[in-house]
Amino acid sequence: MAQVAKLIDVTKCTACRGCQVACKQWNELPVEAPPKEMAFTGTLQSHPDLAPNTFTIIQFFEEKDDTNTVKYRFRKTGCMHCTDAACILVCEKKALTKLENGIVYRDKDKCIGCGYCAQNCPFQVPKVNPKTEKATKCTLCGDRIANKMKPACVTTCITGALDFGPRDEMLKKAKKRVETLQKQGVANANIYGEKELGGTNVIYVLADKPEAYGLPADPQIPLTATLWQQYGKPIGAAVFCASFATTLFAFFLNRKKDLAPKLHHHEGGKSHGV
Amino acid sequence: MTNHWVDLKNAKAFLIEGSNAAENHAMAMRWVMRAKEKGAVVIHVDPRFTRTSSTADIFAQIRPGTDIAFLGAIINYILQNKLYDEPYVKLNTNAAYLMRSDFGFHEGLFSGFNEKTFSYDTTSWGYELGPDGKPLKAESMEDPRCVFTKLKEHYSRYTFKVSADITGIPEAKIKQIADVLVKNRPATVMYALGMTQHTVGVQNIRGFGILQMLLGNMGKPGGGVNAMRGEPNVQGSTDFALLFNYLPGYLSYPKHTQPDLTTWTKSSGTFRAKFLVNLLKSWFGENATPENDFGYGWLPKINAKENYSIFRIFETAFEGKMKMLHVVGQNPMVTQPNLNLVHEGLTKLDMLVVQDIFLHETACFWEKPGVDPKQIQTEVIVLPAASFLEREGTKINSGRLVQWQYSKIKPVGQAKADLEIIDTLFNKIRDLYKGSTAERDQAILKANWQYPQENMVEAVLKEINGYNLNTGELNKSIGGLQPDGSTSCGNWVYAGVFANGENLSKRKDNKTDPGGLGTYPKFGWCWPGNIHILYNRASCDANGQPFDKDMPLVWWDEAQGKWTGYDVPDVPSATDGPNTPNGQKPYRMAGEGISRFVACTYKDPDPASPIGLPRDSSSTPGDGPIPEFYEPVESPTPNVLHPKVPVNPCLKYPRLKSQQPIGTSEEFPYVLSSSSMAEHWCAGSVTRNIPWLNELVKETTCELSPQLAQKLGIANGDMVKVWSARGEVVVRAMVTNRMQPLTVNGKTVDIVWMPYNWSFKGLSQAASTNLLTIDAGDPNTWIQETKACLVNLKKA
Repeated sequence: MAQVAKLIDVTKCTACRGCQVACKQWNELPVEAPPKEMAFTGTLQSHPDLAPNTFTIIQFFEEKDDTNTVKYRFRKTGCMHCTDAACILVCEKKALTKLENGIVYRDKDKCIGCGYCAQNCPFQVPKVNPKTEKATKCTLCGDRIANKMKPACVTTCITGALDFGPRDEMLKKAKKRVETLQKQGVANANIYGEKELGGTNVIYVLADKPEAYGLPADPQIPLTATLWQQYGKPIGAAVFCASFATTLFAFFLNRKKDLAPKLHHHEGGKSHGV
Repeated sequence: MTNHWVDLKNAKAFLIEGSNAAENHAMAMRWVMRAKEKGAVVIHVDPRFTRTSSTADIFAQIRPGTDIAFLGAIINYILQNKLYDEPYVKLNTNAAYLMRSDFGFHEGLFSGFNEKTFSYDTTSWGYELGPDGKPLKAESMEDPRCVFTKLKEHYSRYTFKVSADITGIPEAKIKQIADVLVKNRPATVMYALGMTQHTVGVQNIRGFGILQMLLGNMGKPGGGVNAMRGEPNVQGSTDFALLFNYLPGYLSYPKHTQPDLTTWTKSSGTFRAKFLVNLLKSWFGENATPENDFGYGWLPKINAKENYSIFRIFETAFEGKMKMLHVVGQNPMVTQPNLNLVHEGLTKLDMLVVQDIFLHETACFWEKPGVDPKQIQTEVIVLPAASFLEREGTKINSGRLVQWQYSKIKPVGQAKADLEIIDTLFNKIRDLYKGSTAERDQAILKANWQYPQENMVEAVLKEINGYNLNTGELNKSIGGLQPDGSTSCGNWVYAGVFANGENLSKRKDNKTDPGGLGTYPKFGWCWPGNIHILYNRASCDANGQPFDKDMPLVWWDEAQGKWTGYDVPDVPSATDGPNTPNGQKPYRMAGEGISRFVACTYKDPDPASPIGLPRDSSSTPGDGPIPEFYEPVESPTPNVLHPKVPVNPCLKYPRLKSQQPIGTSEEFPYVLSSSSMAEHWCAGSVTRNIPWLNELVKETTCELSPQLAQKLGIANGDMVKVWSARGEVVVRAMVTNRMQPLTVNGKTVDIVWMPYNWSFKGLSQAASTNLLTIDAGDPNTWIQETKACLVNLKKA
């Protein structure tokens, strides 16, 4: 099966956030909290970060340059569906796997909510729902794709900022778009996701350097994840090097405490098994 | 819209002014992005930097309410430097027409002003007429007496410097915008309530018209003046006389000074009288005869001197003169300005009927915080209505496209479709009047009202399309409507929507697009006559050939002897070629057949009328024939153009002194602009009951600049108290660089912005911005000045 990809052209995004609502609608995700309990983010951004029931958000970036010109940038954030996926490396229960079509698939039944994926993701994407004890993230609407539909966010996008199709086609489109943008004077236009982490199945067209959109310029699999993959996981709990393993686990356990999402969680509406 | 949504893709430049399209008309951006891909330049002019500004190549922050000063400077620049499209102007406008010698403008007032009535005698705004009653034309557009010269004289005061001082936009930026518009044609204009919700709302839009005529952008693909209408079928609502001064199809509503059809025709003309006859035949059926003026006398007449706008509804209630109010699909306890007055008015009614899908703030006005319900005697009845998803019918988008919406969902609970409710009510009321011989009851008793319970909506659409009453066939077009009562039509602009017995609004062909301009002539049906771009004859030269060879739309085909093209040609007759008078009427709806730079008063003689009735009567705004800059009612600065006439001289405000105080800039130093947003629409009656939308935006905020925040000791996220002469609210501050202080007439002016969509009901509740806003209105349309008022601000 050919690799698929979602193309996110931020230069066409107007932050209408139809994608955020469509995602919740298709995946039957409740709100994180009723209005009175939602924290003020400081901008029009809805949530401070992705959350267990929020697989995608539009991040808002506001700045003013020396010439008093305001820059107002938006980026749809969510799982990048990496090829070299740190989350898969560290998933003890093999709940996360890379499918042939490129999707990083999470098997809900296998997930125990340990949160290693959340800790090691270079983009801080997966979130653990403390109530269901499951990690959640964008599924790339695998159920829709299997039925020859596009992901819900792509279908609802009105400006053409989102597209979906075979990865090579999306990449070609992205390259053409960057070329057009550069011709039109957007000198820093670039593609993100072509090579990063072995090539991701979510590809961005950016108008400026990745950092301007809150993306790491050179995303890497954390060293801890690599070590875990190479040494920790095969032996499991067996003694590999007592001192090292202890240190490693201590590190994970400490980090796990910080995993509780920043938001106050609320199960609005029906319970949900994510 | 003179053009339509898909046509936006053909523009080479965009002037988006008084609109936050990316948020409030999000779909517009699909086509803006397509044009941008081809290199189109986007200009956004707005009081704050919004999501729309993020798509723009040029953003100009403008002080609310100063759009005419901005447009005036661009118009002046184009006129002084002869940057206008001369062949277009010569062919399509009244530039060379001679104006009356007594026309003038002095110190902020046009000729004919009556200081006692705050109104103009518009006679002097007319043309010099020949013996045939037709306007006289000058040899050249340079003639000192002609319209073009008057236009140049008028705008000569609007230099870039004056414009920059008034608007707060730097001079260089205004010039940059002017140059972009001159160099990139066709340019389109997109606007919304940011332009109309002012006491100079109509004149603002006239300013766009003048600009686009000068640039030669009207009637062409990628051009036009495009009003983006509200989401809840606002275009359809206004087509069908939602506005108090109209009958369906924008026919003037009968006044007490027009007791019969002849006196009505004297002011509206024979061209429209034909359509009124068709409307009356539709309403009164066989009871409408030539002998009884087709039942014209049964229509209640409005007092020509009174204002029946929505403001007066609540004021009349406040004065104790209104007993009952039936509110349908509206939530004025959130959307009206000066909400405290609205509430006071509602408390004085005997009965309030609310027909809606949610128990909103108007239905529950007695629950307003701080109010004791026991003190309110108004009886409130709620009629649960079906939502738009639970009923079939048509929706009309801004591009005048009529589209059928299907539904197979049954209404929730006891809810009924609005049409079913109205039909039931009408039949009950008619039963109650049965046997009455009183003249005032005849409109109800003689009404032709019998709709089948099955497929009622389509039966109404057929009635709107109308019939040939001799053959019983459905009308095919406006051209088939007769003045003698042999045809009926419920709304003349919709004649043809049911041509040949087919409901054309149901068509869904989104493949056929001859010419590739996005016309899609077989998708739905567009009024009038499926003409997608109005005035499209103006896209051709005198010989009927397209000015722009790269984007031909319509043209005269000599071989076939008819007008043809990718759109329906907007001409009086498809077979009257360029060498006939009808072939040279690009603006056929105007008596002159051309467009007006100066909106001169003119009655086009009708040679066919034996009693000398006019064929057409120009609609001239009552507050002036040329847009002139006036300050908002509450303004932070004097009017530098004419300090003695600072605001629109035709304005009548306050109407109720005790309830309508005017704030001064000493007490209220900051300018407040308010609007809707992507996530919450209008009153929020629907959107604030959708948890997913509340999650996106949860409350009213007050956006202010970091500079103002620092001055007042406000941090981002603090609660702030905002108050005006009318009310006060406590809301959360959003401190953002997107708001910047402006330099206006040498002084710093701070602007703040708030969304108006919240109140005390629904799943998301927050303070109502409209407790602060001013209920002064445009003297032509009575739209409120909610885009500019004065407030004060401090940390709560």
